[in-house]
This record gives sequence, structure tokens and C-alpha cells, in this order.
Amino acid sequence: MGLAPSRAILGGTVLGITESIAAGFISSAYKDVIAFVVMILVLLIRPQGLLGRAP
Amino acid sequence: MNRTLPLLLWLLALIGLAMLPQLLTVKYYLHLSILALIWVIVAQGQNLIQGFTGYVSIVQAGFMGIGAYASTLIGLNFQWPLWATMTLAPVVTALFALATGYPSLRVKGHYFAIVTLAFNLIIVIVLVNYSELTKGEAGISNIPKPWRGDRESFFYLALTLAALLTLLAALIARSRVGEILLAIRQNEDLVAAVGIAAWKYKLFAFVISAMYAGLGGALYAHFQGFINPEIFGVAQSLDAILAVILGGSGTIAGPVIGAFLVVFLPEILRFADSFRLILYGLILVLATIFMPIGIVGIAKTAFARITGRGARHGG
Repeated sequence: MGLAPSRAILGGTVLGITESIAAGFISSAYKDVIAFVVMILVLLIRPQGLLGRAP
Repeated sequence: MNRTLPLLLWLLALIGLAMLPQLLTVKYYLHLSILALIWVIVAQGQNLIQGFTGYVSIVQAGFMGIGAYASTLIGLNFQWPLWATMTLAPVVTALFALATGYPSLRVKGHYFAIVTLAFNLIIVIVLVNYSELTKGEAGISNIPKPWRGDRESFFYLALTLAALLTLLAALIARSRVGEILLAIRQNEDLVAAVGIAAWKYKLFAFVISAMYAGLGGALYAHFQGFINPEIFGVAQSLDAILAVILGGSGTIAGPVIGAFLVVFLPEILRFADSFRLILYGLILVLATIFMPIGIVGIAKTAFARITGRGARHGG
């Protein structure tokens, strides 16, 4: 659990950068949709989180 | 508890509701009753996935929106008759539910709630921004109403549909499928262990609940004559969840009572003026904390205590 803060930093960075890239390249109106899609994909593919270990 | 008493109560409730347009002198109350009947349909759907299967989905209002927009847009763009668009609305909603349910049902518990919440937010964002089709935030007005928009006849249409769909929910709950859904709520691993493909039944419950919402949404659109994305936001999904919890989740009568409460409670509290919504929220919080089994649950326990017999589960 010692890594927990760095994981939160990683998560926030990934989400923020994806949202900005999506806003710039795809559509600013749909940037929230992209962020939600990323969240849904992470939950589906790695429900334990990007750096988390499988239970 | 014998079987005739609940049946008698249902019959009385139905007769009482059927006489409502004659009893209500204020048009506004009739308007609210129709809204409540639409909410009965939505809440019955929510109950199938939340009450019976034990998966709290926060996308019910989003599916209402899909049904409402599907029925309205098909009617406006292709000049289809109203009955056809209203039958098509649940079908369109079911397709969306299949596409969203398959991935979201792979995760459990809170994650399922979060994924469905995200879907509801996505639906609202798309409805707002895809304005070439949906006219965005401004919404669509002048949606055709059945039978010249006569309130009494719409009331009977909503009552018939709500009664039939409640009956259908009861039939599903009593069938083998319903038993498996209950089993999934209690122990999903065990269901899988005895060789039942739980995901099929979960997806079935999710899609059926979405179809209920889709029909409810279509009814709503044609009743109000106006829709915009805001109506189908997360707040309304939470209302559907509250209707199920307040009435009694996992029961058939629960969503009916809960739907009427969710619609009428904010109106009854009008005496409190600006404290109205605060009071409403307070009542909901207290009710959820102190009676998590809902009104029907409490009534059943009380009845069992009076007659000295054990309360029957489900039903």
C-alpha cells in the first residue's frame, strides 16, 4: 500500500491527459464521454486498477 | 399468509386507481397520478435488476431518455403512427441495454453502480451535444399526444400499461428465472458453481429493466409533450432507486407504492415552501436508514406479528 499516493497521481494524470487530448483532437463537447469510456475500459480490463495487483 | 388476501388488496388498489379520475377534482392531481403511474413502470423495471438480482443500476433514467427520444424522433422524422413508435421505444432501449449491459455486468457491487452511472452521464452528454438530431439543451416540444391529449384517457392508458407490466414483473419473479435472479442476489458464486450461466440471467434482468424504462420514457414524452436531456439525468435515476428502496426492494407491491411516494411526496411537502426539498431529502435519508426493508417489508412483518405466522419471502 506504500505506493497508493503515486497510483492516485498516475490515475489523475492519465485521466487528465486523455481528457485534454480528446478535447483537442476529437471534440471538446465529448471530452467527458471519453473520460468515462476510459474509466469503463479500465474497470473492465483491469478492475484492480492500472497498477493494482489481482486479488 | 394465504394467497387470497394479497390478491384482494391488489384488486382493491386497481379499482381505487380506476376510479381516481372521477374522485380527483383538481386536474393537477390527475396529472401527478399519471406521472406516478409512469414511475410505477420505471420502478418495476428498476426493481428487477436492483431488488431481485441485487445489482444497483444508476442508468434507469438514461434508458427512459433513450425510449423517450427514440419514440419522439422516429415519430417526427418518419411520420410513424404513435402506437408503432411507442412499441419500438422499448426495443431500441433493449438494444442499447444489450450493448451497455454486457460490459457493465462483468463487474460487481460498487463498480457496477459506477459503470452504469457513467453510462447515464454519457447518455445525457450525447443528448445535449448531438443537437442536429436531439435539438440539444432546448429540447423537443409539440410531441404528439394520443387521443388529442385528453388527460382521462391517458390516465387509463398509463394505468393499463402499469398494471400489465406489474403483472409481468410478478410472473417473472415467480418463474424459474425469478428464482435464479434471487439466487444470484444471495450468492452468485454458488449459482455459477451449480452450473447456471449467471451472466445470461443478469443480462436478461438488465435488458428487461431497461425495456420497462424505455416504455416509461416513451409514455412520459407523449404525455408531457416536451422532453429535454435534463429530465433524464442521474437525479431521476436516483429517484427510481429510491422508489424501490422506499417501497420495498424485492417485492412487487414495493415499487408501486414507492413510485407514488416519489412523485407525491415533494408535492405534499409544498406547505414547507423553500424548505420543501430539504425536508424531502431528510425524509428520504431517514427512511433509508431506519426502514431499509421498505414500507412493504414493514407491513409484512407487522402482519406476520399480528397473525402470529412467519412472513413469506418475496411475492
